[in-house]
Amino acid sequence: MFLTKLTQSSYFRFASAIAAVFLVAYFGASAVAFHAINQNLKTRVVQVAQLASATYEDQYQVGGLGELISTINSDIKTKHADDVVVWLGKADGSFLAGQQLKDPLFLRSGDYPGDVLADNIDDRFHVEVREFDHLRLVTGNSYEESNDIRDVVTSAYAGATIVAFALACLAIFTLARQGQLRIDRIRSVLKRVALGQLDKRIEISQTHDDLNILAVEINSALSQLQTTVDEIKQVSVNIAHDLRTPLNRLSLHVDRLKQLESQYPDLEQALRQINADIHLMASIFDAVLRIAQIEAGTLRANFKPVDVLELTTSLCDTFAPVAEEAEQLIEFQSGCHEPALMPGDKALLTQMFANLIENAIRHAGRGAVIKVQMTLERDKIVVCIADNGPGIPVEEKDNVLQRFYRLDKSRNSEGTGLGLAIVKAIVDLHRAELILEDNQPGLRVCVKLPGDTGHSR
Amino acid sequence: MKILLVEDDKLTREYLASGLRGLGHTCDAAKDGLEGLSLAMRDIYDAIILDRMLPGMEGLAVLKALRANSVSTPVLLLTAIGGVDDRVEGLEAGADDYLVKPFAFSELSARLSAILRRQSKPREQTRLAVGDLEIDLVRRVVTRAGQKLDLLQKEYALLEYFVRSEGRVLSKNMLLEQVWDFHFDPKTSVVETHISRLRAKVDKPFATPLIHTIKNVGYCLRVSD
Repeated sequence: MFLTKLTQSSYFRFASAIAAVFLVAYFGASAVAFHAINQNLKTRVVQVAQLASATYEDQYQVGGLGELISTINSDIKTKHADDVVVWLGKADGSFLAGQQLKDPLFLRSGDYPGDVLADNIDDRFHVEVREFDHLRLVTGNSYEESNDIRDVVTSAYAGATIVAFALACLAIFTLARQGQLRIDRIRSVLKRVALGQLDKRIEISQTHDDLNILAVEINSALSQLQTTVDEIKQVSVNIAHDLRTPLNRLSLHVDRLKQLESQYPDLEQALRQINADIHLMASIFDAVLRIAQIEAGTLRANFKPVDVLELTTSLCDTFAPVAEEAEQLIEFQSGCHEPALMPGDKALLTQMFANLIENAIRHAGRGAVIKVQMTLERDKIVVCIADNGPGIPVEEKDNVLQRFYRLDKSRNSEGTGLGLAIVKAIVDLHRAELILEDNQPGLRVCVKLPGDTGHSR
Repeated sequence: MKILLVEDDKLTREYLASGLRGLGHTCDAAKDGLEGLSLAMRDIYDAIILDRMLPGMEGLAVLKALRANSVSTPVLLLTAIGGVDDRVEGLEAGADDYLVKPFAFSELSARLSAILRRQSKPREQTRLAVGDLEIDLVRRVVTRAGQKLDLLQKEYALLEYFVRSEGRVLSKNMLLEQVWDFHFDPKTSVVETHISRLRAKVDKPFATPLIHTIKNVGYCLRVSD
């Protein structure tokens, strides 16, 4: 989980790319250095062998054969056979001084494995062969010492490589984590804002880098957004106040006139009509205001776990007698017997389901059967309200969700024409899905609600 | 009872004040938030009717200031904003009830008497009784004249609210809010249907009715006189 998140991070990718380039360069440079060291060590062994050979010849030229033989014999006593080989003989191969070699006449200047020279030698040697005055001088120098040096260099290099590699990994993780943490902080703030907490801001750190500049700009955009939302809210509050005050006066006047009802028999009917109109105006106004408020999305900040099973059961209990009065039947079916929790606003969800059930009761006609079904689909809670009434013509399906739209073109039917528009707004607020289907016959309205994602459980 | 009315609209203020006096209350009226707050701080009122949108100092700010100074007088908030979160905001600030404009005076007086009584009635009872009607709150069993009544869940909730508010007029909106938790106008006759079902069980088999319809206002449960 953490690893997938880390590898998706652009910081991690950037750091990895740099580290990869660094490692390639490191290995390339090391290979060159290693080759140079190797060459150098080899040259030194050859030079030592050549020097020994030349020194012995000089000795012969100055002191003669006797002195050369005694020098060689004393030299091989002090030096180890694994490091140095000296053989002096006549041109025909007869031995004069030094160590016994297997086949001294076969040897030429160059590199040989130790066992070609003699049985008890195993290292690789560089051999120099020199002939003068019918004499044959073979000197050899072992690569052992240079091999030892190379081994030390190699292991030191390997150690350094491991340390460098570990440091590179550490740098990748630290860089990626730090960058990721800052991006995560920005993301969590934006998520909260999307959930309606418009006052959340990104913490600004002291470092002046691009991420910080981005954070500052996001913050200023958020402030702008909050101001706009607040202004809209204030304006609607003002409008509400200015419009409702006269409406309220009107309502109170009607109240007062009601006391005169007994003296003027015609008054009752007129006052009832006025009251109904005041009520309708207020409820249209309420609905418009409420839709605006719901659409602002700020209500998400107050979401709490709501049990959809309990809610729908309770609403069916409430509307069953109402349906019975219209000779209808409400059947409730549930696919689960445990609380079906979702984050939401209980009052609004109640209004949404009540509205859908009431629509079915009002439009399905006498004798209709209204089925309320709750099922769980993976992480979704699906509630369907289906009736076997006249339904909605296919071409009207999208229209009925519009504000002030009514199937009855004369607009004489009761209601504000905002019922389904409020339902749609509540559905959107909860990031749910509203589906209107043909129930053949009748209308089937399904709401697909996002279930509890687990964090409030 | 002594009522404080804080309302900026002159006509509404005068009408409400005269209506309250008509009900037998004494009534002081304030026309803005600051005046309202200074009167309310004297803590001599039985209830405060407070408009939410006031010049000088907002209704909610007045309410919060009162509660912060531990003035616990019951407050009925009047508002032009009927949104769900506005209602919650009002109740959280310490209001006892919430009434959205436009309202009928009868609705106001029903809610006012509800918050006036709420204070005195303890809630930790196990048994409620009105006349020969009894509710066992623990076993959720209702009897009338010794006869057990078979009530559905919503009918029981409705009756319990009626019995707890014995003798008080309950408006349709109050019933919707308290029993069904509906904060919107249903388009079907939810209240009427449930009341008629309840009556069929509680009143019809017996000689005297307990649930009375109060014209233009709502319903009331009382032992008839």
